[in-house]
Amino acid sequence: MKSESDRTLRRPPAAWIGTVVLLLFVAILLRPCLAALAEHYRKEAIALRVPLEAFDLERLPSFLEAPPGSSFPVAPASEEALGTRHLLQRSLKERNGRGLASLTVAYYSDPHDKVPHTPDVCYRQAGTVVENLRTITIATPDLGPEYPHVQARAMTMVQDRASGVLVYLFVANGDIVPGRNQARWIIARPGARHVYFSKVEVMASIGTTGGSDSALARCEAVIREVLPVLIAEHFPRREDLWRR
Amino acid sequence: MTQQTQPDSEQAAYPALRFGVVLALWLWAFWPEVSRAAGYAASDSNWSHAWAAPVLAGALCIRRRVELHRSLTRGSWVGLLALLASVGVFASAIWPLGFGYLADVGAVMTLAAALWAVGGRRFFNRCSPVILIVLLSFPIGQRMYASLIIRPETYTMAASRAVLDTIPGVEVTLDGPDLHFVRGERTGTIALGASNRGAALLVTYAVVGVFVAFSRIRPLWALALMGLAAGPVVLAANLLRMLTWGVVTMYGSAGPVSPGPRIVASIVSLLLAWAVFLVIAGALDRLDSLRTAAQADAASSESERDDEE
Repeated sequence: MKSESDRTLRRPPAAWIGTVVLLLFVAILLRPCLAALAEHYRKEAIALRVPLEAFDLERLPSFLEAPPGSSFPVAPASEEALGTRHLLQRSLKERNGRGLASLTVAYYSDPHDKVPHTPDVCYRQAGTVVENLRTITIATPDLGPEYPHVQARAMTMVQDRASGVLVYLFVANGDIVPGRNQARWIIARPGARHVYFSKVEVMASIGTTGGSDSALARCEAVIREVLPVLIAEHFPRREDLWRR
Repeated sequence: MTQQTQPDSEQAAYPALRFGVVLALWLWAFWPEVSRAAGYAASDSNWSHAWAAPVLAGALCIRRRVELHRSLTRGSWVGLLALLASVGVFASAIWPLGFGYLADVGAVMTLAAALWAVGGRRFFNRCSPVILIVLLSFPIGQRMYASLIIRPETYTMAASRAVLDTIPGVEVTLDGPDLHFVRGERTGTIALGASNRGAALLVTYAVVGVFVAFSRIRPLWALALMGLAAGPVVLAANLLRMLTWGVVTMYGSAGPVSPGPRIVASIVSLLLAWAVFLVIAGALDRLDSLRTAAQADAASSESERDDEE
């Protein structure tokens, strides 16, 4: 005859039964449930209100169009590399000075689009040495009261003995964030019917017209002037993103 | 010294059966994540240690079998709650977040919580190195890995250039991520075209460290010290990998994209990491035995004093 301790040893503990039930639920039901939820709340693309190609540089108080091919440390990325055909790439020149900057805006709206590499990662693959990378705050009075200032990532980089400053940020479903992961969180939020995100990137070379502070100030000025135009005229309105 | 008793076969059979069922269910439930990790291990040398993970985890379990059996209880309700939370993390990573690596972490959390729920907290503690090895076998996405290694890769490439440039008759320059060399009439690039060339195998070195540190039961302070040493050891092994790659490329006869220098550099650096971790663990064990002996001496002299009184 078996002893009490033997019977205790053989009887499955309640925690074990609970674990088995939960794992069976994961194995059999969880994935189909998640797939059904994903299908039900599937997001859709939303078009730009005005194509980026139609961006009017006359709207920028401090900059005008410069001839392409100015001396920037890194060549502008192609449509293929950026993975979108909604692209704005312009060379800018200060109206009251000789300072140059290059602006790249890439727009994505396919729900399957991945938020692209940030410049600090992908430019290194092209041979750029990142000397400094930090988060900066840029005053944007024209975006107030919602965004009186925005955060962006700024990096100092060197390639082929030319050095420059690059500032970038993301606009995701109307929110302005400095990092790729923050943009991913925003576009992953359930509820919105449509999804879009955009990477705004400004580069200025160091050396010909002042040091890195001057190049950084120029990048900040471009962001300060371009963002309000993009949000007011090009990117979809917030209210159009939600289910109705 | 405490006599370590082996669990008798019937005592071990029922818990082993229950754990077998839980592990089989976990594998079934998370097969897409496990098979994706295996696919990565087959295609990316950075994660090929995942093939060795079951062997390492099994070896750790065997080495700790007595402690594992001793710490076993009839389970934990807190562990079951942790299991529920882990399933929640996994599910939210699949939808709505769509974060692949978070789903992998959720899968490993689920394994950890299942062990906690079935074996109890002390059993879970004893299993933690095995769980750590499993976690380190799931690949971090390429984009995330690329952003995490910016600093280590930059410093490693700069240090490699500085060290290799001191070799007489060799001139080494760094151009972006490329190390170019001139040796006599021979010129070339070290680790030409290799992805993450300045920061590869970092996780593999860490897995070696985890295995060495937990291959026997060590006090917490020794594990903490090994944890502190792990970062520098991993970075040093990575630097040695790059230096070996450079030397073999410059002095060997392999072609510019031959896998030979990479394989030699990987083996040499892994051996170095293993040896350094072993030396550190040995030194800490020696320190621990001295400490234990001193405590025993103090206790015996105190009891002698008591006897005299």
